[in-house]
Amino acid sequence: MHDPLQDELLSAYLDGELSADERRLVERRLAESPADRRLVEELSTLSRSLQSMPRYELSARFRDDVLRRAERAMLTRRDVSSAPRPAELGRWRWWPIRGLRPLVWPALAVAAALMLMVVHRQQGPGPRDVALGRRLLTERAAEHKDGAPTSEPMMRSRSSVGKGAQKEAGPITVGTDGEPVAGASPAVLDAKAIVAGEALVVQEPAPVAMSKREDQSGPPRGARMPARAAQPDTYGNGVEVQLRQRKSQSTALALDRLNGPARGAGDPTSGVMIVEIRMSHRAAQTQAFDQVLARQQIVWRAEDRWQEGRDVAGRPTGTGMEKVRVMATSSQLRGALTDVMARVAEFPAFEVRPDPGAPRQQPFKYYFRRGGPAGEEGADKLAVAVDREIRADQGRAKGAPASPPAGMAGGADSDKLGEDRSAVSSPKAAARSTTAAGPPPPGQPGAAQRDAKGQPIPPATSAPGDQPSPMQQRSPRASGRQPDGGPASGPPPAKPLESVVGGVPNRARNAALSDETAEPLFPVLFVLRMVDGDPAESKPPPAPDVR
Amino acid sequence: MPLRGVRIIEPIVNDDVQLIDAALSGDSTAFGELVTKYQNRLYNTMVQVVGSVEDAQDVVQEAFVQAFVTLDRFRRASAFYTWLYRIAFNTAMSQKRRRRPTASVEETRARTGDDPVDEAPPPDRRMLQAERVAQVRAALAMLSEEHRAILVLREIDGRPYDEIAEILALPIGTVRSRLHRARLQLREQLSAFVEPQA
Repeated sequence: MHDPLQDELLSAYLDGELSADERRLVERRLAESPADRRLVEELSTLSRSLQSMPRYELSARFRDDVLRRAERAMLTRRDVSSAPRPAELGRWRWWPIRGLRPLVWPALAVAAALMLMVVHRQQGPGPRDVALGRRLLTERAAEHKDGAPTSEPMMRSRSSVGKGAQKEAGPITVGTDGEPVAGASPAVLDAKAIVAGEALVVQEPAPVAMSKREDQSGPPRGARMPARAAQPDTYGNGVEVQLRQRKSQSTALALDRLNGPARGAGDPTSGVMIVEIRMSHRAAQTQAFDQVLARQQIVWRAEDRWQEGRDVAGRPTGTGMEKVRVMATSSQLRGALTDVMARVAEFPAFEVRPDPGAPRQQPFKYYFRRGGPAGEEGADKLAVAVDREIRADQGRAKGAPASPPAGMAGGADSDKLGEDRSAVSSPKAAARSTTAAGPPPPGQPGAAQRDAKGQPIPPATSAPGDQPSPMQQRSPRASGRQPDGGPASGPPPAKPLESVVGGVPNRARNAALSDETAEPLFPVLFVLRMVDGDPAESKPPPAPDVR
Repeated sequence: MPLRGVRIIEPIVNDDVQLIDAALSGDSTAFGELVTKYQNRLYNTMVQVVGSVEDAQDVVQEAFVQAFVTLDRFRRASAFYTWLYRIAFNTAMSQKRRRRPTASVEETRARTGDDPVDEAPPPDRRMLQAERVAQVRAALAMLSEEHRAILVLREIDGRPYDEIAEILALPIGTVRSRLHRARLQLREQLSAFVEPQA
């Protein structure tokens, strides 16, 4: 029977890891025991086998790959958490006092919160970070210059590209962190993300994108936004203010499509603005979107809002989105989008798909041809979906003209969105819209079934000849004239708006309705999509469902 | 009786210190020299630890990245390679924990079947050698992680006991006993491969 302790000495003897006394002991034992000699011989052979294992070599570019990755990791600091410490292997030794173990997790939670606060407030990159970041940006800029297109949708400005170019402008996707999530070159965005980290280097905006834009089109129109951005921030500290200042540029680029001087009465460039908003569960619970509309005094009818796979006629379609069609001014929409952008938790991202300057008969596919939430494929799917929707509406208009849903298009089902446009641009259509459709009186089913949650009412309950809709009422009242500039001809609203406006009644709304503004209204289709899972992972937004 | 006093003498680490200082001051190429210096050594060790050339490459790359990011935490109480090896070993263990353990001989052979550096022995000897290598690999793959790690550290990387103790955070006595048990287990595994053929 061998003594395990003595056997260990044999192994250590083989490795030359014995003291002089131990070595003498082992040598005496080996001289006496053939079994021990055999064991040592076997272990020696085993060692030779292991040492003769083939050797491998890494490729010559391994070093460069490592350095590239290391510099990125240095800037983003994403790998620090798994950095080793001397005693990490084998067992946990970092909490020696057993009695305090129950306090470990609370202490860690507090420490993590404090660290987050410190990191967010310090936000100062070290010299090593800045040096690496600048170098990386330079490299990315070179890559971008070599391979990226010279004009990008996000980099355009209406003032420089004109209407013709705007027709082809792709959708604008803006994450509520204020950065475009589509449209800009991946190389640029990548470099910006690396340098900025989590709003780490707000003071150093990516020079590539900004200089390109300035070279091409002058300063961004975000200059309009500071007044709003400078308002007291209800969402955070100075970091948030910086974030919002950064957002304002993207916001202005998006809103640039809305504020053009050519948009308005009788202008063929007037069209439907589609705003697709990603909405978190929290937003749904707090009815955040209703609050956004209410704050901007954007009113809507029950018939113009449908959800959960119901089309405008109340029929299930199998999709999981909610749509709201409204008439709004540029100011209202700007305010709504700014609110949406400020509420990051509720609205992780939104996308503006303008429809400027297109003839009415232009297929909708045209507008969604470029860009899109998931690239070309997603845009095509969306285009097909919208195209199908329009064609379905046209089919309904031909098949059932007697019971049109009293939408903002004045009850006509044919080419719904196109009719919306004509309702704004044509005096005749506007006059018709003030009389042909509207909310039913409170006693009628359409109004009575409209609850505070904005549940849709089957539009079949509405019929031509009902009271004018609030939006249709507002169009002439708000402007004091027809969209083409003529005097208002429709009757004043006969009913208060609370009966048809979802959400909490807003006192400011009626005041806003009497506000004599000269801004024309144009149709906007809000598409609300629920975000599944972590809202932070929803950027860029996935491709929309295809009906 | 062969008495192998295998104790690899570490090269003077002054070069490492200078390179580390340069890297900390923002000179990435200095760190690149450290990478060049240690990449293959670490890679060969990690191939045996993780049992796959692809995984080993990932581990080594990750280890160098971690070392670069946390270089300012290196207290220089040990050699740079020891510190680097600890990082790599941590990374390898984390990676293995994330993945399903594999102990299949065929799978191990398939995964490690990458072309090694060719020493160009005669063809018949090469066949025998390849067979033996495959057997050793398979036997290594069947060991527990702690036994495989300590064997690789000692036999393939030639680490002395005190460094192994430092890397694995074990007392030297434990290193000695665990290493001996690991050898005995490897011998058992290899004999299991040989006996059926006999």
